Amino acid sequence: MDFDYDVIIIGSGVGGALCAWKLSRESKSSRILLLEAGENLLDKKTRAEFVTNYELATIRNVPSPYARLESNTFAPSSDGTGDPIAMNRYYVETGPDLFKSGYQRMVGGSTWAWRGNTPRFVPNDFKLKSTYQVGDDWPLDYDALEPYYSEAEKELGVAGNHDEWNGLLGGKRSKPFPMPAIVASYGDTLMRQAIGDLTIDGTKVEVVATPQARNSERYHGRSACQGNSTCIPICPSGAKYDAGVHIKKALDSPHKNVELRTGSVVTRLKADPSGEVHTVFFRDWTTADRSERGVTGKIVVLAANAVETPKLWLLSALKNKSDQVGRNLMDHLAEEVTGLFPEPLFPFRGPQSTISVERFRDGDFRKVCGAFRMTIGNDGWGRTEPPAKTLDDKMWDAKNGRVINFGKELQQEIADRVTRMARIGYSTEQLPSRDNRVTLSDEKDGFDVIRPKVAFKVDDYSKRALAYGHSVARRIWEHLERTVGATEVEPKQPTFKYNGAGHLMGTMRMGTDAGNSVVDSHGRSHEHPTLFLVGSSVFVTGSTANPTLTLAALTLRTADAIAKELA
Amino acid sequence: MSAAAQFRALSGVLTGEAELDATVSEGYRARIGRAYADDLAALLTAFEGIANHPDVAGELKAMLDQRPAFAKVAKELITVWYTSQFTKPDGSTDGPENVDQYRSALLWTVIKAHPPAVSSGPYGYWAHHPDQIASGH
Repeated sequence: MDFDYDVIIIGSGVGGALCAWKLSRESKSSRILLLEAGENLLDKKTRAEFVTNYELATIRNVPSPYARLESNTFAPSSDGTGDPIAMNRYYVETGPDLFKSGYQRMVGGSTWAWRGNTPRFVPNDFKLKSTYQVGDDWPLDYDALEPYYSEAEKELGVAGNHDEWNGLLGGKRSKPFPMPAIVASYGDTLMRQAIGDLTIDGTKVEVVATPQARNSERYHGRSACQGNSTCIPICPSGAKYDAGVHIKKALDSPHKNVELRTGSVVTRLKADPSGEVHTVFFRDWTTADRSERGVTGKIVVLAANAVETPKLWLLSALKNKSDQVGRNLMDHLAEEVTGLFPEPLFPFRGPQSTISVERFRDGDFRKVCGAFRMTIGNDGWGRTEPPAKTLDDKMWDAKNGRVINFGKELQQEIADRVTRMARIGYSTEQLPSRDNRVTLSDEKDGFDVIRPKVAFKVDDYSKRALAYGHSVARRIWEHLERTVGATEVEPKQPTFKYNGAGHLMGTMRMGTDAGNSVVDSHGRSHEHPTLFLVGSSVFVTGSTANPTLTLAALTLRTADAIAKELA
Repeated sequence: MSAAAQFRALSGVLTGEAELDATVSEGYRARIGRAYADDLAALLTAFEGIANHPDVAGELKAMLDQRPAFAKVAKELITVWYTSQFTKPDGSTDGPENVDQYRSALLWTVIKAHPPAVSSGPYGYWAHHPDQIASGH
């Protein structure tokens, strides 16, 4: 059978981009099509326009730089702001809890708006069931993925401290980071010094430099970070990695074997009677008739995210013998404890976060309580009291309609408070649950495509992680209260008003048993052997690590398997 | 004194900044004027009477305390200088008209940072105390 392409990749986020790039090198004679619903350029002018949109927005939330894209009408997504009404404009949420994370359906995907943190999983993350009798084990372990972690760090351009991370929680590193760690902010250094040798529950609160896909020096033609402090939602300089890097590399391949087709919303995949999937149907919203068209590929790679991938699978009525498609949706529920440091830390300068505490990501407590990863924010109390709120509080008596303060005095009051703000955040582990799932709703989006229905419940294991994370963060602050005189530490008790981390995981889990998983460890569908999946939808468990590096490593591994198949 | 100069002088007292950008000031005068036309005009007229007072800030404070409508305009005027946006009478937000307004927001200067997305230095500047950078060390 003749195919239009050797490989069709659906989605140009970090998974699709890396897959296209690697196949363009390893499978030189292959013709590769990268299909993308969004329609934006990757040049400097476009980035500058996104920055301007952000600056001129009245609410500078995650989607604000991209709000004017026409693709939002035809390839909508959740806005990820955690607002139940706004969220429901795309997700049809059935609860009982809210799934609060969204994504960008753009050329380059959600990496436009990510923070860039790239810690690896720790070895026990891959064997939660056999180690702690909870969750599940992965069909591969840390050692199997380690060479791909190194490759992903090189490709994304990760700045990190090898000595701090080599062997951390058992995770050996075969290669150093390609760049030295991002230098800590002035305030982070003061916080680290004040935390000192603190030990909590027998665990040393060791503060390390967070590995970040952000240049600490010129790397792969991109500048060092300029500290614009808007990693989320837009990096003005391009020093932070985004998938546009590998889309451009793939398109610039000397073998001229990659084609990018934008504005093309995939509507369904078609399996032939033998179960092989070769045909992809899409509608190009930039054309006059927007009619459905088909294109064929020897291999099809589904590289959407943990909501769009199961949605498309279910829309296509592909096989689901395991009944696992769409199930086990996970996120890293995040909260924070804030406080006032006794002297100015000068936040809002440099990357939004540079240091972290990793030691609570593993331990025997995981038998009963989720683990968590802690970051020390460099962005004040951005989520609970942004500087504009401090201005309002210090200047205006809302009850009596009076101006309390103005002039230099007001300046001094604001400076005194905002410059001393710090937050200790914790992102928690969530176990896979079959009832946390993506299915199809009865409602359609602006392009007449069925919208995803999301059922989500925060289980007790996750709630205990939020409570324990709060407890450790609060005890760090109590230490700072005692030793250096920190004040105004809040909240005193866990609130369970979590934020989403934008880490959509699960829904298409990998495994060795076709009876309880969707794909094998290489991302190949058990039931449709010509169909591969890349992205964090294949995650078995969620770990506490920001998922991008792990999904990048898995993608590079999958690309190797596809290249072998094509050879 | 022209209306533009009056507005800038009033803004100077309310923000505590002696050197406010004239173009940005005119932009804000137009925006606040559109939203609070009568109250702004009345406040500027009243301010003219105290502008040369030795304790202009004290006089202004007393005036704002006596006239709730003046206080509300003053609040929005301070807010726009600090954030480049303010709240209109209907509760909606009036956003920055151009990036110069966004980038001149006083809030970030006051806390010795920079407007988000507008870096104030080269790689690693954030590792230093802002005064060290300002003095070139």
